[in-house]
Amino acid sequence: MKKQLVIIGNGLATMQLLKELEYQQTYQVTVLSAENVPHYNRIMLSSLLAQETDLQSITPCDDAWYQARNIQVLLNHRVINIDTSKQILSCKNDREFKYDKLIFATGSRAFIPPMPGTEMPNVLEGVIGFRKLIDVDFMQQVTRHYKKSVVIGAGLLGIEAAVGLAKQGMDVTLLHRRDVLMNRQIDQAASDLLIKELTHRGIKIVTGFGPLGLTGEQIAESDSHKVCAVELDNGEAISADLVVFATGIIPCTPLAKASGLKVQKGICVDAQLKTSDDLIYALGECCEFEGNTYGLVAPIWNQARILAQQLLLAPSDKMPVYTEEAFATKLKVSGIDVHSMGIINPNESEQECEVIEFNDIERSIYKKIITSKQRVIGAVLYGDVVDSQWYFELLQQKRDITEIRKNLIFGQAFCA
Amino acid sequence: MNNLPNDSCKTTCPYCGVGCGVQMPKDLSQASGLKTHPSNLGKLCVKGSSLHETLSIQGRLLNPKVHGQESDWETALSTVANKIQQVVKDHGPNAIAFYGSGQLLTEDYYVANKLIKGFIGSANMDTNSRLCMSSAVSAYKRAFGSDTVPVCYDDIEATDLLIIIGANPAWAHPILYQRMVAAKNNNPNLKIVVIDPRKTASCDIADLHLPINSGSDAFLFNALLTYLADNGHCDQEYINQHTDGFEQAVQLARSDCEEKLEGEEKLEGERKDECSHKNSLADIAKICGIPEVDIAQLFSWYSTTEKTLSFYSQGINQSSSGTDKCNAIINCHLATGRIGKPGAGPFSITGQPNAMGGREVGGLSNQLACRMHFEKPEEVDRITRYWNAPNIATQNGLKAVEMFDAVESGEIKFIWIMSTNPLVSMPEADRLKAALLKCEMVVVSDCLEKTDTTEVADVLLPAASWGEKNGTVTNSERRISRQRNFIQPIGNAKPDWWIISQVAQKLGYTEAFNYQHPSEIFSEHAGLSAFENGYDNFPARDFDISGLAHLNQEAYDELQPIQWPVNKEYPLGRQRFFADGKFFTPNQRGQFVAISARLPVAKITDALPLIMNTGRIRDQWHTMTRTGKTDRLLQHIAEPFVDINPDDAAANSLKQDDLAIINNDHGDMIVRVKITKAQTRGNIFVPMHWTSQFASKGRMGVLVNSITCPVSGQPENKHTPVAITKYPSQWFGFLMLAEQPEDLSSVSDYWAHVPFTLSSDDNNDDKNDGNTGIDSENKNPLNTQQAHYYELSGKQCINSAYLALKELLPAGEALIFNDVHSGTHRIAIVKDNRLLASLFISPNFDLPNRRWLSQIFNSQKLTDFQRRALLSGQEGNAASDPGTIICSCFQIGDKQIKKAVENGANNTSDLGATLKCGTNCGSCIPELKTLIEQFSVPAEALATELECEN
Repeated sequence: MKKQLVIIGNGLATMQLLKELEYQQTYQVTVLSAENVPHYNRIMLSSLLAQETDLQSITPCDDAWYQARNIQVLLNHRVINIDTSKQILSCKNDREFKYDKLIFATGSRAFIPPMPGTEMPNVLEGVIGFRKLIDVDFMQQVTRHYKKSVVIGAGLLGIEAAVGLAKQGMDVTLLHRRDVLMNRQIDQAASDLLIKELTHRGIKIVTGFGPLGLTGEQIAESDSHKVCAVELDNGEAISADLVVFATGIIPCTPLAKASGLKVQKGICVDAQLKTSDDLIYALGECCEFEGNTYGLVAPIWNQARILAQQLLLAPSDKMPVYTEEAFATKLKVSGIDVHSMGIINPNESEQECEVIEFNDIERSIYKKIITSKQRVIGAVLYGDVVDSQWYFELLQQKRDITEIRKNLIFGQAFCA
Repeated sequence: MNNLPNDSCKTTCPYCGVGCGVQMPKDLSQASGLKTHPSNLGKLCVKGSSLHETLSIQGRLLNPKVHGQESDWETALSTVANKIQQVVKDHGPNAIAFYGSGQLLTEDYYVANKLIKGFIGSANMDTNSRLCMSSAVSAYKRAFGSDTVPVCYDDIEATDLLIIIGANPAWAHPILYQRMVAAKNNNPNLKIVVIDPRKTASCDIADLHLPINSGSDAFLFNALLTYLADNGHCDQEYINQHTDGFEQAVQLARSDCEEKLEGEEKLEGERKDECSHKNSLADIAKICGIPEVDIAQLFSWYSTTEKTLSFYSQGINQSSSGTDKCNAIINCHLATGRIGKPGAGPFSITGQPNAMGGREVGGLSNQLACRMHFEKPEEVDRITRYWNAPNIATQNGLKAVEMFDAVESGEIKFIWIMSTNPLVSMPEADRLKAALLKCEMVVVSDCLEKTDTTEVADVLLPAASWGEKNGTVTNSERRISRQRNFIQPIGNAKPDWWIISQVAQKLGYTEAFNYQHPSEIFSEHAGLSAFENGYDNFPARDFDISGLAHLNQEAYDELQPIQWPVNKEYPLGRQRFFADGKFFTPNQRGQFVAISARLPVAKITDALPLIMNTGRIRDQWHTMTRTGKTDRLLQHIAEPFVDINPDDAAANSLKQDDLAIINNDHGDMIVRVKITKAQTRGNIFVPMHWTSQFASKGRMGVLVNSITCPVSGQPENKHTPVAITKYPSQWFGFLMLAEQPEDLSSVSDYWAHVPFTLSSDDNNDDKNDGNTGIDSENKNPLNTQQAHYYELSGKQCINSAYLALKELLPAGEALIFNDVHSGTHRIAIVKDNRLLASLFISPNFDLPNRRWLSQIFNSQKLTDFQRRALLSGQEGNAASDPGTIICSCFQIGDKQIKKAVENGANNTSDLGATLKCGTNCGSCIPELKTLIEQFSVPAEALATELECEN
C-alpha cells in the first residue's frame, strides 16, 4: 500500500513540488487547500489586476493533469489541528487525514503594520494586503465605486499593485518610507528611472514618509467604517477609498507552532527541508532556513527539487542538500523591465566591490554590474534586461570576467 | 554646389616624382591610371587612386587674408606689392626672398623665378626641392657639366643589376616599384640589391640587402671604385676617351679606410698588417657594419653586369656629404662606361611631381632659368636680354637653410612661401617658426587655410589646387606632362602664375608679366630654352625644348607626355643622354670627382645614443595637406610613430604601442612605438609627414640639425642623434567629433588628428532631416563631409582627463559607460538617433577599433542594437539578438524560440529544457504554445511532403 503524503497549501511551492514528484509511485498525494479555487499562479495576480490576463490563463494545470499523477486536491479544506504523535490532521470541515509524510506549504500573508485603522477589532473597510485572488477581486470591486487609492510600500508587490490599480483608472498614490523604491532590489539611479516611468503612468509617488494611521468614516446606513484617508508622519493626509498594504509578508506559521514544530520567523527546516518533526517538512514562504525566509520564487524552486529528491530517497541514495544561492529579481509590470541580482549596493557588501555602469537616460536604460575579484556578484538592470540571464549565469558560475570585462556591460553579443 | 566638369580629363598625379598619368571621369567618382601615359601605363598607387576623395572644399582657403582679416584680391596684392617696394627701397633687393615648391607647376615656377631674379633683382628664390634632390643636382653638374638625368624608366626593364640606394620605392615611388617587380618576374637574370639601413618594404624583391651603417654609403662606393680599378673591371678605353680625374678619384678613395680606421676604429696592429691593400672588404665591412661576404657579392655582380642601374634618392641626397655620395655612385658608372646605355646609369629619383620642372626654370637659388647659371656671365647676359630684365641678379642667392637663417638674423625682411610647409619639413623647425614670426612680412600662397605655415602668415593668398590649376610638370625621367584643370577653383582661389603676375604688374612690370594663359608662359619658357642654344657657335645646353616653343593654346592643351630635349634632332623627345660619351662640360668629358668619404657630421653621444632616420610612409604625401583629406589613406597608418629595433626598445623600456618621447637639444616629438626587426640596432625611423595640424608633437623637423651638404646646401635629414624615453601615459583615449576642437593640447599632451569622410546616408528615410548637413548631393566628391577623431594620451590622472575631455563634447543625449576600477570611461552623444560625438578613455592602449564608429558617425539612424553597441565601439553580433522577449524571466526571445522549435522542440517542456523559458513564473507558457504552433508549421508541411513521397 502507498504511503500517504499530505501537503498543506496549494500555492506555487506545492505546484512546483508536484511537478518535481512527477509520476512517482511511492505516495498517495493529497493537497489540502484553504482557498476555494484551484491552484493559480500567484505571481500573475498583478497582471490579473491590470486585466492583462484572466484567471484561466494563470491556472496552469487542469483536472486531467492531477488525475494523470494520481493527485487528490481538496479545496476549502483549512487544516486546524495536527496530532503529530498519531500522524493525523483535522480540518475545519471536520475531515481528518492520516499522513506518513506531511508537508507545510502554507506560504505567507501580507504584513499589515499595526496602526490606527488596521488593528482588530477596528479594521477599516477598504484596507487590504495583496496576496490572494480575493484581494484582486476586492480591488476590482472597489474600483467600480471609488477612485482614490493609496498603496503603501513600493517594493515589487506594491509597484505591481499601484500599476494595476492605475490601469483600472484609479487615482493612485504610492507611498514609500525610503527614498529609493524597491530598495532591497535596486539602487537610486534605477529608482529614479522607475519613479519617472511610474509618474508617467499617472501614479503619484511619495517617498521618505510613512503612514501614521488611517482615518475612517462611517458607511451610510451601516455600523461599519471605511477608510477615507492615510495620515502621514509629516502631518499631511492623503484621502483614500482603498489602502493596499505591500509592506512585506510574514510566513504563515500558527498551525505549525500549535503543532509543536520549531518556529522562529518561519518554520525552521534543515538542509533536507525537514522540520523539527522527522515526518514533517516545510518549503516555500512559510519556512525558515539558516535564518532566511523567502519571498521570491527562485529559491523555492530549488527547495521543491531538493524536497522531491528527499521524499523519493532510496536508502542507498546520497542525501540531497539545499543551499542558499544568489537569485535574480524581476519586476513584472508590462513595459517596465527591472531585473536585479546579488549585491545591489557595493557598500552593503563585505567584499571589495567594483562598479561597472552604463546609462542611456534618454532611453531609460541603466545597467550596473557589481564585481569583486573579477567575478560578477550583483547587477541592476533597468530598461535593457536582454542579458540578465547571462549575467545571472556568470554570477552563479562565479566565472572569471577578466577577458570580457571591457564589453561585459554591453552583453553577450559583445563578449564572444 | 555643382562644380562637376563637363567631360572626363587626362591629367597628371600631384604626388611623387614618378609623374603618373591620371584619368578623372566627369562625375569624379574614381581616379584611375591613364593607360596611354608612358610612365605608369594605366597603373596608379593607393594615393593616386584616392585623388577624387581629396577635392572637397573642406579646409580650403577661400579668400585672401591680410593680417588675419578676410580680404579681397586687390587689397591683398597691393599689400604684397607695396611691401616689396618698400623693402627693396630701404634694404635692397636681397632683403626679399621667395620659397617655392616642387608642387608648383612649371609655369608658376617660371613666373616666380622671373620676377625675383630678373625684375626684383634678388637670387633668393629657393624651394623645398633643396631638401629633396639638390645634392643629386650638384653631383650631376660636377660630373656631367649639367644637371642631366641620363636615364629613363624603361631602364628598369632593361637592366640586369638594379641597385636601390637610400630609397624605398615600394612606399615612396610605388608605380616604379611595380615596374621593378614586373621586371624581376620577367627577367630571371635581374639581380636587385637594396642598400638601406632599414629593411624596407622594397627589400621584398631584393636578392641582397645591405643594411649599412647610417651615412656610410660613400665608403661602400669608393671601395667599389678601388675594387673595380684593382681587379681590372674598369672600361679603360672609355675612361681615357671620355673622362677626366680617374686616377685622383681612385687614389683618394683608397685612403678612406685608412683614415677612418686609424681615426676611429683603432684596429689591432696585427690585424692591420694583414691588410695587403687599403679598402679591403674587411675594412669596408667594418665601417659599413655589414658582412664581408655580402659586399663581395655586390662587387662581384657589379663587376660582371654591364647593365647596371643605380637608383637612388633621399637616403643619399639628405646628407652632409650628399653631393659626394652621389658622385661616388656616378664615379663607378663613369669607370665602367655605364651611362646612357639601355639599362645602365646613375638614376636620381625625385620626390616631388615637379621637382624637375623647378630645376628647369631655375627654382633653386644657385640656378638661373632654363638650366643656366650665375657662374657664367654670358648666361646672365643672355637671360637679361631675353627677358629684357631691368634688375637681373648676378650671383647665387641663399639656399633654404641659409635663407631662413637670414630671416632669423633680419637680413631678409620679406618672404613669400608658395605651396609648401617649411615649418614641418625644414630642420630645426621651431627655430624657423620663431624667425618667421619676427619677419616683417610673411606671404603664404596655399590652397589650405590651416597649415603650420599659414598660421604664421601676414598675408594669405588662396591658390588653386590640383584639378583647378593648369600647366605642366616634369617627372624624374625628364618627361613633361600636362596637369589639366577639370573643375573651377574653389572660392576666390587663383592659379599661382596669376597671383605672381598680378604682383609683378603692381610693381610696374606690366609688359613682362602680361600673361593671360599658362600656355603663353610655357611658350616663353620653351623659347628661352632654345635661345642661343647650340647654334651659331653658341654652346649646347642640355635643356632644349625648342620643339615646343610655338605651341598655341590648343596644341598646348593637347600636349602629350614627352621627354626633353624636344628639338630638331629629337622632335619626339629623347630617352637617354651621354651614350656617345659627350658631356656638357667645357671639354665635353665626364668628370670623376675625387671623394674622401665622410660619415655624418652629428655623432651619437651617451645622452643622444640613437640615430633618427626620417622618410615617407606608403599612404601619405608630404605634410598630409591633401592625403590627410581621405580617411582611406589614414587607415594604413593613422598616427606618427617610431620604428625601433626590439633590443633598443627593451633597453629603453618601451613596449609595442607605448608612446615615446624622442628628443635632442632642438626639441621633442611624441610618437607611437612600433617595434620591428626591420630597424637595425641604434637606428630609429620616424615618418616625415605629421604636422601640428595632425599631431600635437609629430613634427620630425624640429629635431633635425641644420647641418647641410657644403656643396648642395641640402640638410642631413636622415641622421639625427636623439634620445628616446617612454612617455609616461596615464591614460589613452580617442575623441570623435564633427568639428575640430579649439584647443586639445591643454587637455591631452599627445593627440593625433584623423579626419574621416562621413559614409553616405543609406537609410535616411526621414525627409525632414534638414539639419544634419547631408543632402542628396552627398555622392559628389566635392561635397563630402568630414568628421574627426583624435588619438589621445596624457600624463594627468585619468579622472581629471575624463572631466576635461567631457567638456569638449556637444550637447545631446548622452550614453555613458564607466568602469572606475579599470579606469574605463566612454561617452557617446546621440541626437535624432545619430551618433554626433564619442569619447573613449582607458588606462591602457586597448580601445576598440575606431573603424565601425567612424562608419556610422552621423551618417545613419542608429538601430536599437547599434545604439546599444555604441559604447562597445564594435558592431557586435546582431545575429545573437534574441528578438522580441517572450520569457521575461530568462529573457528568451521569439528568434531563439523559433530556432529551438526548428531544432525539434515541439512542446513547452522541450523548450524549457533547452532555453529555460517558461520554467520560472510560467506566465509565458500560453505564448510559448502559440509560438510552437506557429513555428512548427513548416516542419509539419515538410513531414506531409515526405509522406506523400513515400
